[in-house]
Amino acid sequence: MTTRTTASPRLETLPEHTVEVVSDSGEGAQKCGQIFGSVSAKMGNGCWTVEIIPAEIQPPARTPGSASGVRIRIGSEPITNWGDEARLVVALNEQVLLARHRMDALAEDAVILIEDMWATHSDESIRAAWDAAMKEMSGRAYRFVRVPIEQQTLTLTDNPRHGKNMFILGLLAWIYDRDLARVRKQIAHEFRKKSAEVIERNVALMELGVSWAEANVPFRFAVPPPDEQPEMVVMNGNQAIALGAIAAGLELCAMYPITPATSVSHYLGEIFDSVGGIVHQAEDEIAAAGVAIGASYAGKVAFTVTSGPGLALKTEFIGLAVMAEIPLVIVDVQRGGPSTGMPTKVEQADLLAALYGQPGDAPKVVLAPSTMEECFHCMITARRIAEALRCVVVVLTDANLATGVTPFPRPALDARWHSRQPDQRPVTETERPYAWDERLGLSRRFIPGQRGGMHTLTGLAHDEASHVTYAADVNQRASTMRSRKLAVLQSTLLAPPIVGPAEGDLLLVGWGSTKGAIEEAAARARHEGLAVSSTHLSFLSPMQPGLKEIFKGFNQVMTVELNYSDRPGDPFITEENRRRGQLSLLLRAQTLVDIDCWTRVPGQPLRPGQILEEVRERLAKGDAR
Amino acid sequence: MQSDGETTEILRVFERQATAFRSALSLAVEDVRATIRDQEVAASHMPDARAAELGSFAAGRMQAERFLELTSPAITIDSDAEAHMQAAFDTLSKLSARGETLFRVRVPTGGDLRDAVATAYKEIGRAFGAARVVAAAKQHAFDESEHGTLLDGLPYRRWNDAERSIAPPLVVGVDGGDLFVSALAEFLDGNTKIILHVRGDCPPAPLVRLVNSSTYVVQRRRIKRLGGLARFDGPGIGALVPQYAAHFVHDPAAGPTLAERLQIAQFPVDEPRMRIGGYSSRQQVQDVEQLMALATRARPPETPPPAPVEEPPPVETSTPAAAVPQATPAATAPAADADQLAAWLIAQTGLGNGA
Amino acid sequence: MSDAVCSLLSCAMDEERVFGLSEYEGAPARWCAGCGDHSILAAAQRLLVEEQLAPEHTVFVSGIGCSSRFPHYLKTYGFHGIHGRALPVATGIKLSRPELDVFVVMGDGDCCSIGAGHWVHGIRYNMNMVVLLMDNNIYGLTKNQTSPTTPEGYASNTQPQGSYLAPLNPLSVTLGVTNASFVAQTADWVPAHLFATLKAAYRHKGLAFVRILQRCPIWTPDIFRQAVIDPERTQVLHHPAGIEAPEIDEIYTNRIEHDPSDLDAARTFARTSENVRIGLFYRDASRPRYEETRHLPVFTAEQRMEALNAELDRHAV
Repeated sequence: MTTRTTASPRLETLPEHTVEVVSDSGEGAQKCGQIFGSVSAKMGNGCWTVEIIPAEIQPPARTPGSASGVRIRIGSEPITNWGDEARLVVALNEQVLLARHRMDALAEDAVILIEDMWATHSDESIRAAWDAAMKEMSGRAYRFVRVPIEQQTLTLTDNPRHGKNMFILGLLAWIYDRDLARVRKQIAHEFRKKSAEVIERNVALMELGVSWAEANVPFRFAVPPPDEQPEMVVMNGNQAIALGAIAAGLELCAMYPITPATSVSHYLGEIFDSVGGIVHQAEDEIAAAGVAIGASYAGKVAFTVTSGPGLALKTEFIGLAVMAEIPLVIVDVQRGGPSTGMPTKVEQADLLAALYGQPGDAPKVVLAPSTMEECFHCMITARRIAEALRCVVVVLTDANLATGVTPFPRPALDARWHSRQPDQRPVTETERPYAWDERLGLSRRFIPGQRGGMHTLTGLAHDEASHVTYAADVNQRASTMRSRKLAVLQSTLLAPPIVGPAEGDLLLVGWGSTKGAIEEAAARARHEGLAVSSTHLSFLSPMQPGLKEIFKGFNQVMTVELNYSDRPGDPFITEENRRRGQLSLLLRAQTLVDIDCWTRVPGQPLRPGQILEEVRERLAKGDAR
Repeated sequence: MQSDGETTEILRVFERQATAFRSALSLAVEDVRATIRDQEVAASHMPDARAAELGSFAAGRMQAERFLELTSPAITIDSDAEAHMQAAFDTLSKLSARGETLFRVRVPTGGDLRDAVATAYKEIGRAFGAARVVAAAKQHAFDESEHGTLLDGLPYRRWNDAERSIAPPLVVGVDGGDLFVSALAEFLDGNTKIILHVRGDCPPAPLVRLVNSSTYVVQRRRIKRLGGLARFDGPGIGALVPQYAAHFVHDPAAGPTLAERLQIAQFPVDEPRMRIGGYSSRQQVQDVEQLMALATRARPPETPPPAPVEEPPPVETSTPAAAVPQATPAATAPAADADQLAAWLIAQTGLGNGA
Repeated sequence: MSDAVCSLLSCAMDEERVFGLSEYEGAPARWCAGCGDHSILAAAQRLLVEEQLAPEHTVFVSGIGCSSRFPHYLKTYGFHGIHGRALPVATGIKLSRPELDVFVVMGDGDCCSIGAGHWVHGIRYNMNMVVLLMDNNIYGLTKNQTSPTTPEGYASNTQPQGSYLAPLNPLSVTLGVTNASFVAQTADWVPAHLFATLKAAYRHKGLAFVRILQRCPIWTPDIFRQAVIDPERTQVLHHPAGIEAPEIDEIYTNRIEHDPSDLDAARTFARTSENVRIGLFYRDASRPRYEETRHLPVFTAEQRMEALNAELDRHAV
């Protein structure tokens, strides 16, 4: 690690810090942030990155709408969410900065490194825009450092659009005392598909940023990594899903491009061949489900990956898989909905669709990883459950997990995750394709190629022999058997752990990617003396046991979710007609406990500070004991 | 002229078939591994021995062992069967680890081609034998007299149809003088493909003796010309022969008539005068005559016999690229070829003045 | 079988077997009397016997409709899925198990209407399977609704004043798709030709698309009546490389010479005409087959874990 001793400005040591780099779309802020995040993770810091994505591919430059970039939160301890406000921002123009300001994304006293060319620009309208922006932001105690980013960059390159990001990387590397050798190595890795010349120039630009900062920036922040930690890997949730799929022994991924799920297949497309796996890009979402189902029926382990609109299109096929008891894993990387909604933005609004999307009774297993690490590991569990129960397993991740990058302990690979194949022994005369075990609802699966197992699978109501029948008793029994499998699984689930005391004033309940933010908010609340605990559900269908018992320990129970609910007190909204958060709806039905919800659909991850504020308000209003 | 590199190159041409066999072997290894593990777990009485199958996401969230017990009861077999299965597993794993070396044979100079191929298939047959042992053990039907020697090898003669259809390609390095291929007919069934990689002097048309209505037979100089053999759905044999030998393809899929199936790209360049290893010049002439007979039969009856008797195309071994004529369209070529061949034979004198 | 990716263990259980008709008979067919599907089923069963396809290695995939009951009446593996989606399911089966013999059975609603997208792409994938379009020009199971191939002006329950649109021509559509490799038409009332067509389709390497004109005695008894009564109204595409059914030569004398390697001519002959045309319109066995393009070896758990480990190295901190 680089150490500086001479004439260093004060080095402030912090447990964690949140940085943002924002620019017009296409100026490479995300690349800069990725490298900074990767280097920090590799130095052993806890780290969480979230992309700031404009809605359009090429929005007009120098407008708040074009703000593109990345937030990186680093810490001495593991980081579980994107935090609240950014403490340090590098902005390539005042308009994109203004966008972040307007979103309350910046801390009251944030340090802002900003490109200074606009203040003195020859174009009068630009100067006016600068002045107006500065005036709008003057209410805050931001500390501005004006940096001649473009001017400096032009000393090494003719096209500053391809270089400012590396200069900024140098600024950040110096300010946060990053290991420059690692930074150089990471630049070489990120640009490995480019020429050596490009890599050299980018390294030079980064070093230029370092020396400029050294000469001009009057502060530094140290976020020291812990001394010892297990071996780590760094990746985003979609990469973790892809690697988890391989670890689980999945052999075929049928998909159709859809944001934000597609990058799973991009990554799998690169590496799946090398382990004998196929990524099949189908002609549409429906066909993707059909191909996965066909492959699974034929005895291969297949999955499909999609997002909300795709899940909707797959509905009928999912119903078939449930009806005919064909194992299938579906990954739904949730985005803002309904309809096309907010393709690049996070939401947790497909929960009910995942559980109840099919007409008719279609029991399925639904589970939700809450971290990138769980994205990897849950695929193994999902595959195994799907095959063991001949059922559909939906894995709900979201855009936050999909694009966020964080380090986690390197998985210790185990060949047992995927070496079990369907029982291929010949089928005897008396065996039937749906010979449901009366107690468990399970039956042996026959696979094409298997002697004696010939039968016609059907999506119509059928009896044990897979013969179509509409007999009342047969349909009742078949439905019972398909449902029973979930009860069998549920009987083996364990109650979710409570983070914090098992009794108190308020219990926060969450699921999926909000875990880090909820637990951080609850911890801060406890630190303030509030009796707040939290619990997080990984299985949504069937639900983990013991929930009612857990809820009894608290005066209030509230789900925290990234989906829509009516706010009490809004016009016409009453206790009776209020539409509630999706998990709270399920929990109320399941437990008959009066569970409240606090949900938002901002298209971005929840911030712990927002949750904390709500908690404080609630406990101030409520009957705290 | 013969190298490992070339053998590898040949196997690339037959990769699909090699892959199919190796995949089937891999699947068998994994299948048996799971069964054996079940037995070990059952024997160990360790409550969490199988829990790892569900991955660490299940840890703390599921009673993994209970779940597996309810939903995926282990297939238990008795200890005898387990021992057989373990032995079969060892065999399958070792064969799997040998990779492509399993598909290569080298016949020493003066060696017996048929024996070498039979031995190679018997060795490959260990995989089929092991699979049969596993199947028998799983069904508690292991019979010492039937299954006892299967792991030592299963000769081709005992392979069933399914096994013959999944047979891997076999690349055989052999001296030209040892190319007695008639006995290989025994192995040309199912989807078996034998590729003879000829060393040294080579008789002009050794493979002609294997031409029949269902076998693909090819004699060519270049490896890439074996693509048709690799794609053919059925048994076949190919030989990579020197420039001066006959170059021909007999493709049963090309059509119902011999005229469509047989394409002769080149006749032997020199008259067979010298004995090559055990291959006398008379035997060589028999081959050539047989090729001629086939070529004559391949002539469509409606084609009037061409009157002028021409010299065969001049072929210089020193300029192979220019010398190899491209295969001509099937319907007309064999007739013309036959005439050329007849002319060539007439031009030869002093047959059999070898040894 | 050359692409078998089944375990060696399944080879172990092979022994000599001979399959008779009874080995392929499933539930008794419950189509209406006089329905053309009966004759198609008989031809398919005859094909299974003649080719001696192992029942457990054969899969019939269908969608929804009268024709899609087909798999139930056979004793092979069957997949009676959802309306219009037989082809994606078959794609998944063939892609993962290329050694299985896959047949797809669809009706005109399945193939040409709700599943039309899959039809176009299925032709483009050109996987080695037989695809039967049993075209009776009507929705029969749901009782008489206009289908994409219903003749213009033909009255149905949904369009009682007569179909408003000219019918879609399935042959022209198929012949227009990139990578089409086998396109034939036959009719349920010419059993010898039907069988010869199925056999040629099965023997073809690639996706063999066969449109079978099929009589519905209940809803569209008139549509093919003239063609059935008067053999002159049926033109047989004839060529040595085409589909040979000498049994019909005496009755069906109206012949057109057509070389099935000529795509332009195939497109011309496929156009809707006064006559019914049966025979092989187009064949090109050299078209790439998707399951071969995407064919990959199976690895053992260790090999996969090794590759995964190497990949994790790339993400290692």
